[in-house]
Amino acid sequence: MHPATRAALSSFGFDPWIVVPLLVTAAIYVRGWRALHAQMPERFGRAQLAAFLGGLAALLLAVASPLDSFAGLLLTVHMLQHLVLTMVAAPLLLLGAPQIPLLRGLPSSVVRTALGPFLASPELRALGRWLTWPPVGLIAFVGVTWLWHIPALYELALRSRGWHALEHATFVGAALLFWWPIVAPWPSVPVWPRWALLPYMLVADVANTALSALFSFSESVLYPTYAAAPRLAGTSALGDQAAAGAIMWLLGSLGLLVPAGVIAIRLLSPPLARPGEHGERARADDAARALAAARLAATRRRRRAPLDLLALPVLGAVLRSPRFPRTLRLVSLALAALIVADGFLGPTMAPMNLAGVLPWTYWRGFLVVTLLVAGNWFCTACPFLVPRDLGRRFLPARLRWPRALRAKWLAAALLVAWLCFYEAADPWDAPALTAWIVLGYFAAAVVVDGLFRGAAFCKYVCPIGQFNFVTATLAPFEVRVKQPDACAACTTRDCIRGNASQRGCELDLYQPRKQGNLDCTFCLDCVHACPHDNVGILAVAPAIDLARDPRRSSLGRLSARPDVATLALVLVFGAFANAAAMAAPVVGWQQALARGLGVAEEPLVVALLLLALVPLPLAVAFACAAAGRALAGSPAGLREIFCRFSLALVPLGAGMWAAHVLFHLATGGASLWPVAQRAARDAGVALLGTPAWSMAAPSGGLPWLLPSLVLLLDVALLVTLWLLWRIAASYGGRARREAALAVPWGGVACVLWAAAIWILLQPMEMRGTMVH
Amino acid sequence: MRDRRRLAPRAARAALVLAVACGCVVRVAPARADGGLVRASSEQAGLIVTLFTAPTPLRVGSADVSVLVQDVRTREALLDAAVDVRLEPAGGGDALLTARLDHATATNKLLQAATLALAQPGRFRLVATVRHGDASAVASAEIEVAEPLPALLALWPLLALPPAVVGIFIVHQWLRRRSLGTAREILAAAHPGRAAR
Repeated sequence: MHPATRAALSSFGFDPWIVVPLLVTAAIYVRGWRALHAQMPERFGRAQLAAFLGGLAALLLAVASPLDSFAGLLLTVHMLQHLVLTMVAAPLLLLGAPQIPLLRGLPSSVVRTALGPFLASPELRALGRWLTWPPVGLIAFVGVTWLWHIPALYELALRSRGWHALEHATFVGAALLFWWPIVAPWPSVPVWPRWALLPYMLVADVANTALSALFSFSESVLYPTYAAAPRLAGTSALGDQAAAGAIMWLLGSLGLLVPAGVIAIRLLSPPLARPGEHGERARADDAARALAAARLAATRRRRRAPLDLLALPVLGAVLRSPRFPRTLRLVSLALAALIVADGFLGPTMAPMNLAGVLPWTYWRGFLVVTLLVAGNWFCTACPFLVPRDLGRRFLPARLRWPRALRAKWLAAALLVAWLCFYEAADPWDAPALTAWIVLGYFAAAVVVDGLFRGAAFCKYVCPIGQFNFVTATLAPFEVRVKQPDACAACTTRDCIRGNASQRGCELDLYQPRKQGNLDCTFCLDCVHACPHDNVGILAVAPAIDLARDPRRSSLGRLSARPDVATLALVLVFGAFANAAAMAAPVVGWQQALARGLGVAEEPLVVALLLLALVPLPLAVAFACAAAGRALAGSPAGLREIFCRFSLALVPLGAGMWAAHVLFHLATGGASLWPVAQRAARDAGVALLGTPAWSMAAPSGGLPWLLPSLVLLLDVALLVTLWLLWRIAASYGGRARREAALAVPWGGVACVLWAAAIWILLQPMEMRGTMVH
Repeated sequence: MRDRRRLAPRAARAALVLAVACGCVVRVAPARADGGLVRASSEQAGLIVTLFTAPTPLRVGSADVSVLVQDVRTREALLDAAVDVRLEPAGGGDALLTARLDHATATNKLLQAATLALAQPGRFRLVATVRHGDASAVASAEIEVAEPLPALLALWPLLALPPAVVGIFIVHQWLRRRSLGTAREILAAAHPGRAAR
């Protein structure tokens, strides 16, 4: 094959914004089709499946193949692209009778709760009937085709990706409306008699012919882009235009007249004899349908059990193995040792030191992502547990943790102290200080858990642990019982008491009453201790735990836990304060304020941060609780509203933390390699080569980064608003009362979201990279 | 054990779909260099050089530059030409940016492309130098780089997403409550005794 031809045929462009939705649509359709095929094989046969998937493939061919790559150079190719969209993709999609399979392919809860009200709405049904009325489809199809071929609009689509996407979307949409009465996808009922579709298609063909004649017989090139384009394949611009018109004429007419001919032939042919309703074949179909329905119902009952990571092949075995957490801890211990060693012995410049890069760029980024995607696995891998467990062999660990400290107040205070220390001492810029912090953490874990029973350090002290617990409430996985009935019959309670071979939960979480991920370190002691293998890592709806208020093991009701709410508020507002402190305008404002007040900058920064972490969030939360309660006339107590609604802000806080640390990970993510090269060379190992320090400079050219982070914050805001609505709805009553309870909190959430967007748009201090 | 065996093919299918999806997502054309606006075209030394830029208009930020090199006699695309592009001030002077173009960066593999980071607005000269064997040709164009769009404007679809979703949700809740209200009325009409109780 000629190299140029091979190059042309390999000119594919996979845009994830197109490919992913098409793949998801295909997956949903196939899932629904399989269920329907079992019930109604004659309605949903392989032909329907092939048609729909063929339609999706045609869409992909039109927008991701060389058709798209060459559409800007040759009008002929562009015309072919549009014909594939309107004459191939659209009718094939409809031939797949997509409505029912797509609905069936979605989770039933989504269809019932999310789509149900729309599907049942008389107004939307009327709109659907109007849109599928043949004259509307004809006008839309002809109108959209002619409109987009007006030179000014055609050129606009050629110059702008956004307008081009809109052009293609309207072509497909109008084509679907046009072909709807012709294909009449089941279960739609044709509104016109079949013979009326003949003039319907002829009118469309006349319009297509007229437009294509304009191209074929025009004496000038209509579109300046093609007049200026380089000539390929020996064509002139005018010749290309004429050929485009000819293709539009020929293929467009074939696409319309062949189906018209098929309809005409069917109308004129005598009807085929059908088997009687009470015939043997009908009885066999009925029996097959009943059997398939029974099998489907049985499958659905089995499918209601949530996904259990511990039941998956390979992964389940790995997670269950006692060696798994031990291995993770040893690896993280080794990394911690490297951080300490390089922190003390390596260069003082943080971007060149493992202690400057590993914890502040990598560990934070992977921590937040793992918490949100998989759960609290970083506590599983905690390196401080290794010396703690060793220390317990020598230390008594007999004392009970003081009752007065068995709340989150101490943890919240330590978190506030840590965040203030972070701003005051800049440990991210001081490798030796980072090393001391790591050593101090080890010492604290050993001492606290060496003196007190249970995992007191994890449950009541560790600031990182508290961050993990709160953020993991958003995770899609949770350690929980599989079958509650099995626990009801259990008398030994090994999950919390332990047994001869395995200790129970050291955080006092009794599995049958455990709800959510708060205080759960994913240590899986309960999994190993349970004699009935009744504890798994089950999939749950993310964040739903924050909307509920059951009585939880070791925590009680969160509506009665202002300490937990305060901890959550510190984390939420801390996210914004921590990120804002990096923004150049905020730094400048702080400096100006310090000069104006005649004080040193550092103490002022700490004071402002303290304000932002303690009185401000508490005041805002109480004000929202009081305002909502007054507006709604709710009988619920102020403390209860404060506690429950404060937790709804957690997604927004987690989103801000995630945006912040992912920004650093994306911009400084290449820095680990040269730092590792330097550390290896300093240790006398030349294996990794000479450090390439250019990689440690911040990556500036990441156009996808800001939009991705904004999208992340959008999702975080929407989850927070949804939680506010769910919590408000749990108080019952009318919609206005629910809204009144939630509106003040929603306002705060929107303000925080706007602040997050503003922070992301500011010039940033590029911490952890060669320039900051 | 039985559950694990049933889970295996489902997990494998899910993993396969995920892998294909990730592969498609990862394999994103870094520069959508399937042309753009024709900035210059020149015929020299048996070569036709056409210079494209995208997006239109050019703004401070990322810009795609593509070049198509053709043989003047056959109009055939020459894939083995070496193409360099430089950006210099409109009035002349040292190059502000230089880049070597290649086919890998282009979506349309007949073209060679690169992404330039335009750091400041103003008028500039974009010069493409092509070498094919002993022949060399140059195509150049004056370009105007506009100020970047205000960040909020550039992000408007993402900023509009939360209000749009909230609006749809409000409509959803209104429809749901209305249908529940209608259902209650129908039940009350059908069973007035129960409704009274």
